[in-house]
Amino acid sequence: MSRYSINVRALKRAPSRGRDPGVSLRVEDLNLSYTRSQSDALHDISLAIPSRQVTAFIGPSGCGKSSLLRCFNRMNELIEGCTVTGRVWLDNEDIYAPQVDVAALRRRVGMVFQNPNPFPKSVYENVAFGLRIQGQNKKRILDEEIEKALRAAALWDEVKDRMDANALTLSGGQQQRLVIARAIAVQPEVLLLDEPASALDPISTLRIEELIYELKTRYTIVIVTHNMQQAARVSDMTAFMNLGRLVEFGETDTLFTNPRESQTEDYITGRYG
Amino acid sequence: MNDRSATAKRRLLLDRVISLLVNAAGATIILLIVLILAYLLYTTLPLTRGTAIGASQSFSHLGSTVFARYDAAPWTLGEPGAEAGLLVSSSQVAVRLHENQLSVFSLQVERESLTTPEPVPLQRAVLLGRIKLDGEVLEDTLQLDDWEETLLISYQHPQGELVVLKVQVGESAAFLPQRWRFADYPQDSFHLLDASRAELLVVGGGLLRRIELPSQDSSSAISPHEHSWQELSQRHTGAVLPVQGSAQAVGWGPRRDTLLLVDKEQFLHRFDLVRSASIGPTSPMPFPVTSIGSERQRRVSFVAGAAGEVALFVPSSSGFLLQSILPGASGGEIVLSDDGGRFMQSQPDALMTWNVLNDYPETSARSLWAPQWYEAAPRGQLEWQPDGLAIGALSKYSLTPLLFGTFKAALYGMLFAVPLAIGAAIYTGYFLSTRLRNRVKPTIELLEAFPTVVLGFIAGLWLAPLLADYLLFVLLLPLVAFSVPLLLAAAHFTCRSISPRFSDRPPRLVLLLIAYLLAGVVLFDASRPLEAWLFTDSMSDWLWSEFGVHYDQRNAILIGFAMGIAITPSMFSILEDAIYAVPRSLSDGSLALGATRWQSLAKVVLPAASPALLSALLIGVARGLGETMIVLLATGNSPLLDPSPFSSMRTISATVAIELPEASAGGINFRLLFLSALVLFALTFLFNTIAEIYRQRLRYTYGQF
Amino acid sequence: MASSRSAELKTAPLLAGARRAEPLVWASAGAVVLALLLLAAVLLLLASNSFRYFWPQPLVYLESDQLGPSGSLGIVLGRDTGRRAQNAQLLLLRGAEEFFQSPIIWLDEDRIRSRQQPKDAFAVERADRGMVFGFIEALTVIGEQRVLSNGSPSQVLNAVQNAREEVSRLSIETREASFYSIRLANGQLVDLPLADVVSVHLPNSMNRVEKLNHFAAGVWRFLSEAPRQTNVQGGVLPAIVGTVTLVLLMAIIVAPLGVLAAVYLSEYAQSGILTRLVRIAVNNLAGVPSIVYGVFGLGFFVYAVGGSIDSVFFADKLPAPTLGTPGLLWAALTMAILTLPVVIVATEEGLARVPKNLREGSLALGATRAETLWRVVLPSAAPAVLTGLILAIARATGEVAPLILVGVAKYAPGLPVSGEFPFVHFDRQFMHLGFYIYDLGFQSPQIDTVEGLVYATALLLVGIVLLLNVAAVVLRGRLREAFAGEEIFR
Repeated sequence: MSRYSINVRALKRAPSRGRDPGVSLRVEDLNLSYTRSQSDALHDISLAIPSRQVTAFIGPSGCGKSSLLRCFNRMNELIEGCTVTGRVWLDNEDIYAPQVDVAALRRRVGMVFQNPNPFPKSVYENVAFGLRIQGQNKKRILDEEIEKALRAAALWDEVKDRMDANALTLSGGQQQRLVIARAIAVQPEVLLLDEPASALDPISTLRIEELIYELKTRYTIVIVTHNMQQAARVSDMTAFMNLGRLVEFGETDTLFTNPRESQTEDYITGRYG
Repeated sequence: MNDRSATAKRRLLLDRVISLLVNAAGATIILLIVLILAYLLYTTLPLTRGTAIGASQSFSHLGSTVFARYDAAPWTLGEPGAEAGLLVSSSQVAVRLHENQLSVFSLQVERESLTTPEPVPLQRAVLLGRIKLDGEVLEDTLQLDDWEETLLISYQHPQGELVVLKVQVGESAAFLPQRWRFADYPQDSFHLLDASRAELLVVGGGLLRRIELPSQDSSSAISPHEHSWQELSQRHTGAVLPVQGSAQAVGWGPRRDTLLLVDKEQFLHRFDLVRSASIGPTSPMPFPVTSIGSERQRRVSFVAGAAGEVALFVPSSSGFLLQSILPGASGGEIVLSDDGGRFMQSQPDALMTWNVLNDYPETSARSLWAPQWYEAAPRGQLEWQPDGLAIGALSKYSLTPLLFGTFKAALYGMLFAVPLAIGAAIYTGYFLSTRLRNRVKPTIELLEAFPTVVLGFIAGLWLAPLLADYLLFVLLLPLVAFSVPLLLAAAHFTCRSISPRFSDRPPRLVLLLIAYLLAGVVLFDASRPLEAWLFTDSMSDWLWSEFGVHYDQRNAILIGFAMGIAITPSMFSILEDAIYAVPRSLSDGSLALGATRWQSLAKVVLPAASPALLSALLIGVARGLGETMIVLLATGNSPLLDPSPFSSMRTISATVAIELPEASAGGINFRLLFLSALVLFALTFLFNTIAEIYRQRLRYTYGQF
Repeated sequence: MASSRSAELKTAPLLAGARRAEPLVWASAGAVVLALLLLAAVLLLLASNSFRYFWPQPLVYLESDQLGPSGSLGIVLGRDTGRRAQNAQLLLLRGAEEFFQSPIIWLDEDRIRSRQQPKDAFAVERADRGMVFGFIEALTVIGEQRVLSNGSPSQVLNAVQNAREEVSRLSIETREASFYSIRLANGQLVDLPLADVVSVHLPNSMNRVEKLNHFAAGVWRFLSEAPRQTNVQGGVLPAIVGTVTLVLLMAIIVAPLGVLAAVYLSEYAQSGILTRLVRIAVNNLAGVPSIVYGVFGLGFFVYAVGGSIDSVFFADKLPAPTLGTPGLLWAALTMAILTLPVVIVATEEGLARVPKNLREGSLALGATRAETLWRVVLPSAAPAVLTGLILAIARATGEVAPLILVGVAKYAPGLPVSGEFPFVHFDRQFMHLGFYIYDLGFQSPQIDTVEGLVYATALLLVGIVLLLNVAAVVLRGRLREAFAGEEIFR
């Protein structure tokens, strides 16, 4: 484990440096509540997520980090009795404005979930899904885009000979990379990763982390993780949340080595959570 | 980019359309059930429509006016300037009294022309013959009645003498009237002519007399029969009935099966002419009655008073359908047309009619559900006989026997299904291994796949004759079903006590299968000789001779079997699911405390699943209430009110299936069948809703684990 | 202390012993066995009686005091053992109903003098008026007599079969001059038309293969021919076609509505009063007795809707109704309402088994709800939808009560589907297997002679419904396996 982590850390640092990160997502006074339950609510969240960097959300379970992530592509709306107030800006567009096309938003803000959820279709069709629903049915273009996405997800070599196999026959790690390929095939601007490696074995986890590193050159990545080492390994910025509030947000190195808040320190030193 | 936004727009539109469609589908489901309920109600509601007097019409006299009581509309018969004289008519025949001579006309006018109240020239009526009368006649007393080819005429002379004439008016018969003369006919008597029975009914002196008027050979008909009243009351008495009180008005009951009498105190009395007995209690009329009569095809009677008061009522039921005063009525006699369509009164210059709106007289809640004292019955009855006219009686519309039959069929089905479903659900859901359960459960549920028409056919055609022959065997079956497992349990326990090597998990199902088959074969072969030995011959004959229990070949035992098979699987399914869903940890906890498996089941698992038990019972009953094909094929369909397992029944569902295809749309029977379907709908709705509430409670309970 | 405890365990009191024998466990196991026995018994009864109907039964020649000097030839349909041995009776089908008072007769067993199975006895199935049993002595084909008295029974059989073939190719006029002379058991020699012969065989001298052939031919005729002689003979093809047309039309109507309603409940409904009402409505639709649907169908579809359509579009044909009378379309609509809850419940169950994260995955890719539904959810739930449809079809196939009111006919001259426009005749009445059973079993004056046909029809119907149910069970099992272990939505 430690061997890999050193590796990743070394890889991570170099290209990021010297780039001026613009702001991709900006959150202003976001409040979220559920009528059904008290937990997972969010209170007065404001933060700006830099573009083409990896931002990690950490915190104890039930702190609202997944809820916050789901605010970025309005997936929270699928949960009954969920109310959101406040603003979320994606490239200076308010994504909660009334005229926003949610489907278009979600195309721009892709998401990968905790458990790999490939559709019970072929590998090819899984990646083609997002393109097809946008009316792209030309075989030549599809082939091209799918190969691009699979290569970007570092899965191409493993599946190029079994494009027609059912996606459910892939291993867990492959499935998760397939899902990432599926997400990037529609060329989103932001990629939301909700504990993408928590259901995977260490080797698969490593490959996903390497992939995240590769992808951040092109996409703004927001990752939710309960694994602090992972956050430290892959992210440039880290937000620590607790009880639905944003406790601290800053550069990963600073936050882990020199936290401002005592809550953060307690958490990263393992005093609770 | 433009292309892309067009695509996005199309996608959004499609999303909206689909969303709309899906929501519409959801709403359609509610709409459907509301539509069913609303339509049943819409068809049923006219039954509650009250009785009313409609428009009145006046037809001025042309020559002389006749009204035919039988037909739907009155009509006039006459021509300007024709010789006047009193005209009286029945359905086929008119009689004119003019200068001491009776002219008899046959009214061979097409019915269609009769329904419009236009004058029909007298020439179109065929003169059948004339009868010379011997002396002056009181015009008001002229009466006639005809039935097929027999015509009865009666009149009185000023001195009080009553004369009855009987004429055959068929084309073949010679026009030779027979004549009866009753010289000392009492003044305060009333009489009615009945051509169909060739009878004269006389009420007077505290007695109702029925006097036969037999046909005699033509030679004797030339000289009139002279009878003194005294002599007549002894010689020609068909039947004599005591009458309490003195009569004020006398008239026919519906279909002439009864005679109605109103006494001076305005109390109504009914006399059953079929059984020769008085019927039921008397009831008071609301005003001084001057005339009384009834419809021919429905159980509706009327009374009318001197000031135009009228009332309509159903003689077998209490209360009035209508009480009213006819506007514009004068002092003459008011009568109701034979079809009940209008009141009519002959006034000095005109014939006045009032329409009667009375489509559904016998559909009050009381007459549908409470006992009715029908004609030809010794007591109040609950009977369903909607096709009465076809079998020569008035229809009877009591839904009670149908509802009784419906519940009887369902409950006998439950008697069979409940132990079977509960037992099977307990064993499958709790004692069987999951692997075996996953095979056994769908197999038992396949019982549901038998079309009920097949079960009904097997019960009605294969089992019914077998049951009659093997009654004892069938009655012993439940005993066998319980005793075989108990015997096996005892045997197994004994073996285990003797040698501990016997498994404590015996192959129960296999052992039971063998034991049941053996017991069945042995009992089957032995049962008929045993029956012959025990009951001298067949058990059904013995039941009849010893206890007067009637044995119908298609009976409730049969229904128990067939209906039982039909409702077992759904009950089993609900119950088994509930028992299986009770977490194992619960019963494990109980077992760990030293309870036996059955104790854990009874004390822990079953209570947890008890809402499902109730739910299953209710759903079973609801299924049984609505089941159609089985009861249609295997109940015998007689609407009896007999809870005996050996007797037949008729259910609502079977009645609807049999009668609705024949019922004319909008008729009383049609609407009553819709009403019974509505009752069925309401019952099952109630049962299913309660069952659903219990099932939801079950889900809530499991939510806690 | 410890030793006394163990002693307690060993000396169980009698009551505890009885409890340990678990009598009630045995009793509940008994219920399982009885339920399974019932299933088997009904199937066995149908199967054995149908088999007897098609399998050539031996022709028995009986001489009895009851019959006078001559005997009787026929098939033993059944035996009544009576309560005492001397009461036993045989039920004999002697056919030739125009020559005997009744085609069946009960014979007291103890008065039977002799019983034999003559090798040369023929059984002739006729298109009209049932079976004839006897000894064929001569043939006349187009007026030309062929005497057969010196031929062996099988030669006679061949000659009759050939002659029958010949006659079937003739014109109707010349057919009348062709007949066979058969001697009945009472000694009477009668001439019967050859054109009327459906099949002829020698049951007592057939070997297994011949019997099997006869059996197969009988089954084929049963499945492929129309009924004859007011339904008491022949096949059930029109009833099969009617049933299939009805359920297919019903499936076409019920599938979209049922699936959409299930989608509503599972995917679109917010928890609220409306959704609760829909659920109550579905539950009650499932519980409403089928006959009530029939009443509703007759009143609403036939009289109200059909009557209105007639008065608008077919006014020239009134008062003869076109659609304002029971028929295929109304029956299919009524059945569709009846089976709607079946489709909804099965589809909803299938939708609930589709994992939530598949939906999220699709939505997160920018798919709309409709696209998610169409491309991800419904394909995954397709086996469930199919299960629901199969169950609905099974239910509709076995249901007869509403059809009595809304469109089934005892005998329908035209099939509901045909080669002429508009191919499916929505206004026609149709025959139905279930109703055929009801009608035959209850309207036939001679139930003993048609019992075999009823059993065969019942077996066919039960077979179809059972097969559909088993298919549904298997399909549902597959679906459960496919998403076993997945996180279940809801």
